[in-house]
Amino acid sequence: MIGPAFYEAYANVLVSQSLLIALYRDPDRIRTTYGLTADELELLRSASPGTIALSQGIIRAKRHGVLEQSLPQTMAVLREFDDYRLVGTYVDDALRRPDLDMLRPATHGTDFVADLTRQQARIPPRLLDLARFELAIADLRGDHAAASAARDKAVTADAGGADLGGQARPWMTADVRVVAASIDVLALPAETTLAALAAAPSRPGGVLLRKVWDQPRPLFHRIGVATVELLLRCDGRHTVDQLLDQVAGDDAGHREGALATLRGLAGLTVLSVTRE
Amino acid sequence: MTPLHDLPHLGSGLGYRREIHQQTMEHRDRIDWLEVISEHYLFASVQGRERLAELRAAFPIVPHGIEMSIGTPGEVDEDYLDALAALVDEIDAPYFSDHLCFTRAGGVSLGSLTPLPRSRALAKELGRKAQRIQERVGAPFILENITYHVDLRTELTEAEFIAELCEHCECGLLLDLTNLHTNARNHGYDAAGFLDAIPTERVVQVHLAGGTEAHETLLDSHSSPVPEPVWGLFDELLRRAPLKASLIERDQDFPDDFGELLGEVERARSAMRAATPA
Repeated sequence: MIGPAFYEAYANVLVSQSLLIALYRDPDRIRTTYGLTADELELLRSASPGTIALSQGIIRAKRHGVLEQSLPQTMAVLREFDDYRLVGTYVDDALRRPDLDMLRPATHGTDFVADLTRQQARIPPRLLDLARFELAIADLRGDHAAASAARDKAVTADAGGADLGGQARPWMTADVRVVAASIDVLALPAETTLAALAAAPSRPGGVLLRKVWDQPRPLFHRIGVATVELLLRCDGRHTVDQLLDQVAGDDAGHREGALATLRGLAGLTVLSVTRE
Repeated sequence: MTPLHDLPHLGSGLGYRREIHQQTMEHRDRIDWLEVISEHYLFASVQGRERLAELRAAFPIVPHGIEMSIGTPGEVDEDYLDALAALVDEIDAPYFSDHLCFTRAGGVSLGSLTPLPRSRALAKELGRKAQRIQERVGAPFILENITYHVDLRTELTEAEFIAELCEHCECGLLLDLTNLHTNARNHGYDAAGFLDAIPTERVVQVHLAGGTEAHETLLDSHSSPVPEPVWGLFDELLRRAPLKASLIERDQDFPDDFGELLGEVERARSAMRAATPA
């Protein structure tokens, strides 16, 4: 006979990666935690881990969907009743909301914030700006290639930019990220609140983030809209001439300014160059 | 209680979603009926109720639940059933539906339709529970087969479980043919054999939808046109039993051309009209 304990264990395994691992590696832990009979444990373990993992992914995606749908309403509630709670705290709190019954191991803030940035049309723009910025920081922190590039630059003074001809194809180095934003995210308080987001003056531009070898926090540089546009096009596929056509057209002054920017960024090793 | 065979012939319907509200209303003459998600209206705001009234003025409506969680041990929440009964009464629904699964247990709300540990004892228990729910709500209750990925080695197959459950209640079935196709592919069984094993005379309604495929696994995403194998199963089912209703489901990736959905509604209608059960 299958009892309520089986369902409890089953549901928890479906939302917890660590419980899924324990089910197959340390089944006694699952049996004692939930008080399963031998038959119940055997039945639960009869499922292949792959099918449970697939279901976990589906459940996680659905939870993200629910969180995203509820975000505008949640923000309104936070503004009214919660004295402008932190955005980061919101994410963590949202995952524990009783009406969603989230278990923390099922997902985490970075996943959710990443999901937010893919839902542009339905997320308040300033929250999206902050989410992108926070994600870039997290991304740099966990990127091995970024760390390697930063280490290489720390040991070699490789000044570039001297020969940035029209057919060169510049690309951003692995230790760099660029984020566009409608506000100055660097001017926000260290612990950004929804109130601070709402009050921030409109200031289109962006941030260049640069990984520093052996440091958890990157360097931040404010950059203008034009530089953001230019950098985001530097993907190693477009030539300098093509980039200048795209951002400056036939305007000689603008072309000269954009080229100077590219050379400056190459000189700072923000850009590397593939030459033909 | 209306016997299943006396339920009205609803025809070919469409799953109502707010994203396609305007198009649905504009093409009301080409859609026979609507299915709404029960939970969207059980405790709806004034605006929600007004929208429901607008829909009801234009279409027959059937409420389709996703959170009853009949498989959760214990009885279904009384407040939920009260609200469901009120909704059924408010829109004069000929019947109501939900899934044969569980979505909550042990304080965890999965938000996902989850397969049950299928046993003869559980089928009997849930059959009796479904019967109580039907009597409590006061309208026929039809239960839907779900898509599942977790492959518990259970005493009964899905088809055997459904057949056994039907032995213990007078409820009907909502056969999701896309779920059947998806499960048959993913778990390697024969969909026609499934139809052989269930009491097809209990099938009141079908769901038809299209999903996606990832890593050789079909996913029931309701995001694409109904695939041909599912239409094939629809024809096969229609040869076996008369249906009261068919429904096209689309939950995301709505086509720019609403005519695509209307075409599927029309195709289902034509198939039902042309069907001659053996």
